[in-house]
Amino acid sequence: MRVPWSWLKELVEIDRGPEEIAHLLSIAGVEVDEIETSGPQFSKVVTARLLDVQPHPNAGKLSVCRVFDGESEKQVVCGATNMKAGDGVALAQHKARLPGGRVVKRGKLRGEVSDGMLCSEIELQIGDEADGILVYPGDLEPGQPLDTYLGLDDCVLVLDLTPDRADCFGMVGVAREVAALTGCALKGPAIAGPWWDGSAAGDALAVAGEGDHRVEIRIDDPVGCPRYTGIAIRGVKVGPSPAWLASRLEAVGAGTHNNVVDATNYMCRLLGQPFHAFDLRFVRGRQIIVRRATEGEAFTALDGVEHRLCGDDVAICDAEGPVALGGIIGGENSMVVDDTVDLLLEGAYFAPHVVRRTTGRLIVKTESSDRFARGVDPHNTLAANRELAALITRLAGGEIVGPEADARPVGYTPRVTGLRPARLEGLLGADIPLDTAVELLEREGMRVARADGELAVTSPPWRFDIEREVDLIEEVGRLHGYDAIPITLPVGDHAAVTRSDTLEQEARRFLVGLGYDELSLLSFCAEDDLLRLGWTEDDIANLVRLDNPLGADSALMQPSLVPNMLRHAGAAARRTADLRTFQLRRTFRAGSGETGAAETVSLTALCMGQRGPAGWNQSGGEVDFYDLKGVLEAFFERFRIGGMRFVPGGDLPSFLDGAQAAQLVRGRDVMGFAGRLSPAVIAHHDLGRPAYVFELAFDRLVRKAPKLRFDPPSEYPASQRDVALLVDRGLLADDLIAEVRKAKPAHLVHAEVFDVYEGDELPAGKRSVAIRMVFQSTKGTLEGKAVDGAFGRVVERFRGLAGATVREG
Amino acid sequence: MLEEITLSCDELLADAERALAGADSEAEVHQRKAPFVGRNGALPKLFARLRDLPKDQRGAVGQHINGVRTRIDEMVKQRLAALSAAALAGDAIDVTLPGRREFVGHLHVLTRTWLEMAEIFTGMGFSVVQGPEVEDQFHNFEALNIPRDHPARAMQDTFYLAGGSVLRTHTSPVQVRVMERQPPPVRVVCPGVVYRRDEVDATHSPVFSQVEGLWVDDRATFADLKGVLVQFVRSFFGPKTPFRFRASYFPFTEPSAEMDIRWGDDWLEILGSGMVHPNVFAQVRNDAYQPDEVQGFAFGMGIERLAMLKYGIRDMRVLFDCDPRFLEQF
Repeated sequence: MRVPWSWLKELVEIDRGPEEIAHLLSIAGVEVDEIETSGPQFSKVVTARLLDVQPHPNAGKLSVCRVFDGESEKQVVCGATNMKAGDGVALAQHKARLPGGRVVKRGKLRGEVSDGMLCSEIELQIGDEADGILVYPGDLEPGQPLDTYLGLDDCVLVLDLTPDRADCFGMVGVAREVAALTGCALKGPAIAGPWWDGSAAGDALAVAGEGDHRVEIRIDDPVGCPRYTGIAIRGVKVGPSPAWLASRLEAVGAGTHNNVVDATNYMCRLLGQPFHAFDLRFVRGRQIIVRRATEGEAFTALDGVEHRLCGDDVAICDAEGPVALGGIIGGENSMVVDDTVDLLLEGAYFAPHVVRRTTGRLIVKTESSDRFARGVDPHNTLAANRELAALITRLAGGEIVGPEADARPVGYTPRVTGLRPARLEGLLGADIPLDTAVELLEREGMRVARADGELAVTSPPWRFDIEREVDLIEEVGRLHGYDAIPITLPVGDHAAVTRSDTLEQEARRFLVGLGYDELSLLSFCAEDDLLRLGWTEDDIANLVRLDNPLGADSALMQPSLVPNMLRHAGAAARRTADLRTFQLRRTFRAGSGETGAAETVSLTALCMGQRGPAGWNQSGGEVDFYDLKGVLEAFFERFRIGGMRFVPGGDLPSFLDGAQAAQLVRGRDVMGFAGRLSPAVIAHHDLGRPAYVFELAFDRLVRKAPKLRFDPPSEYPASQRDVALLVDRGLLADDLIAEVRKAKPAHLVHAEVFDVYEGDELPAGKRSVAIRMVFQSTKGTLEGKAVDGAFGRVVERFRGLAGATVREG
Repeated sequence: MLEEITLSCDELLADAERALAGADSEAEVHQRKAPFVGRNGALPKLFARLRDLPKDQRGAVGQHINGVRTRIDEMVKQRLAALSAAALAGDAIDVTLPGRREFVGHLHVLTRTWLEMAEIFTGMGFSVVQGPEVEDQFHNFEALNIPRDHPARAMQDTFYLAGGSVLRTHTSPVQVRVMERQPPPVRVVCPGVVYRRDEVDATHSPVFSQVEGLWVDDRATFADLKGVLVQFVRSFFGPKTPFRFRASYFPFTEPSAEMDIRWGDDWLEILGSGMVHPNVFAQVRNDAYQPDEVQGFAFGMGIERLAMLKYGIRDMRVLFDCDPRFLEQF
């Protein structure tokens, strides 16, 4: 909504400037987005009176003028000839800035002092006239800024209206708000009589005009259209609008068409009430029937667009079919054209929800639908139509014929809302005297009655957003001023403060501590990416898909964080070879819950490049699988996650290189994967070097914080025994440690592969593995014999293991 | 006799100095001092000869010999110190060379910003809860007093799923879920990712994050809402940050307010808030929320917006592009 300042000043006696009014409106909830200054940009150009004109002594085409600029007399040299002594002129003073940046300076022209410049229209860019300077009547008051004199110093307040303040969708509404906020007097057009009495329901059938201009109006759909008024006018002369109307429409951002259409647009902006003017010739059967459209009924709007209507839409029909779409747009078949002579003016009230449904379905948005969709004053319909008729007859001639039609199957009952003073204070936490509250509400046009210590507040018809007590409390609060409400801290009980994100934050900080950078990437992914990375069509059918994505490449909710992190790695790899990144974020799959989606918090990390920063005394080499695994092991240790196994093979994602990848398994549950990316993926994303990723179902793995309890360490020394084995390569480290455990050696506290050797001197397909075992008791020092006995059981077990040979000595 | 002793003292001193200067190790120092001050060294012998002097001379001569002894001890100390200094000089390093480093990781600025916010709100007694990102329309709209065809639905361009669910357009549905689960009092902040159908540009993203706050009991007021938000703004942006409250409209609060802070020359909107609308309480599927018996306030703010203001980020896209040169600054 655009509010020209000059127009607002016609409607309310404003005693302050646009900035202050904009501030007051914004604070009170009618947000002013910006103050747009319009018109030409110049400074230090003032009105002046030309005292006399003499020929220039040294230049035949120039004259020397004496002017009075309100303060002093000045001499100015001028090349124009269209002025004479006594005229009013536009004087650019010394240091005046003209449009385009030119600065006028005092100086001499052909030997004569010229203290400024007399300006032409085109120099000031307020018109096209280049011949001669601006000449005004000589009785103007000299010394005023020219833009003020010309009324060019207007500005426009651009409002960003919230849905509840539909009343400010007309100049009158904004004026009322300004009056309420400032106490300044309104001087706008009168509104319909005593609204607080409401209006009784009337007939659904009414007649406008008479004789040849008689139109019968009937409402068959009182839900979609509770009220429809019509005024018949004959003998108008359609033509261009006067300049004042055109410039006002331009200021509010509307185009101009002709005086009749412009008048309806103007009154719509003024009153917030949309209208439509029909060419009476084209109202077939001299009948207007307001009804729901039939399914599939065709309607061509005045912009030439054809629509198929349905039973949700309100159609304004003549004897043969739709001539307008109720509250939204007129029809091509009945619009006002150049040779229109007789009119039927429509002023109606359409139900907001019906208009919203139709505009939503047909995707049509007009100034009219914008207003009806939010709601217009349901009571002022006829009075507004009269204002329009008066304006049209003034601009286009013609006269009103016969009676006004006011079909009104539904009456208007003003809403009365109760306000309890205790509730007012209890909700705002401010002690606002009741008299003050009453006065504030009355300023907003409400009528307040007091009864039994409570207020009964009748809200005016244009404030249909006032529905219940809290709405009145907001009115009092905002008019009193939110800044005037005290600042207190709430008093609470002593409930525990808990955090559902603690573990997530600890995990983030842990990975950051290991040198990983956290990413925040979008949650959508592209089907193409998934197919390339090995998701099948069936997999994809089981994902969460958007009905209305922004693009085909963002139609799916990511089932894994890997695809987007690969894209990121591809972009980052152009700048750096060393990358360690992670994300902790939701991933999605179709699910059976109430929303049809299953959400998992996934933790995904990617690393490639050097193991550490390069330096004069360090060179770490490139990361490999075991760097990534080390991070996971540290993570499991930190979060006390026991029993995690790295299982090769199995159902690994195909973007991993199966030779260096594992599923992460706990018990029988797959909790994630880790491994090297496949060469195809590395190549596609241009990473240029091996890269490794892991992904964990974080929320399944780390359900709650580990319960930490102190476990006193053994006071007795530990003993250590090593065994060296020559084993088949097929025997994995985990298999060997499992054998150790199966031997059930007493007092074993730890067993781990601590050395691996593979070399040509070993038999083919074999490797040498050394296992270290630690034995310790909490009850006493273990004797050598006891340790030897336990160790012996392990060695025995390995002697019996196929594919393994114990290396003696 | 007297002169003889004095003379040999001076000689001794000169000899000791020469001998010690030639010692190249601690052992050699000790070895070389022995002939002078050792048990059978020259000085003890000189002391022995004191007895041969007349009594009145003994004191002065004894002092002289003692002086020599002290001198030699000093020379030994100096030599030892010089030797150990020389030894250390061989181990000297250039302490200004770079150290052996580790990669340093960085929290994303949005995480960092949320952690700062969480610190402030938990300090005021709020707990942290989270909710689903895929929501049903009841929790995202109806329960928040945004019925179908309500003009406020047009304020939020929504992503829909085939089954009619939506990607939540705000974190407000979490407040409804919390109230369904627990009776008042409620004091929660709910961080999370939200979705709106906006194209990516300098100030918009279809995926961003919000924090929702909710405080419900039987007496929390609008003045309390102001208090909580003012304390937050002062803690987060600085103790002297100018602020103001403006009337506004949200379907789920009444009265509603937006809060602006003065940032440079402008007032910038940073959050929306208000007293929980009675219709919201009425729709909670939990009888403990009777609109006439409970009251409270709610607020919501964008984490991106706060982070961008605080850290001088002008273009929202850098947050989601995650260029390493951006990440490493936080």
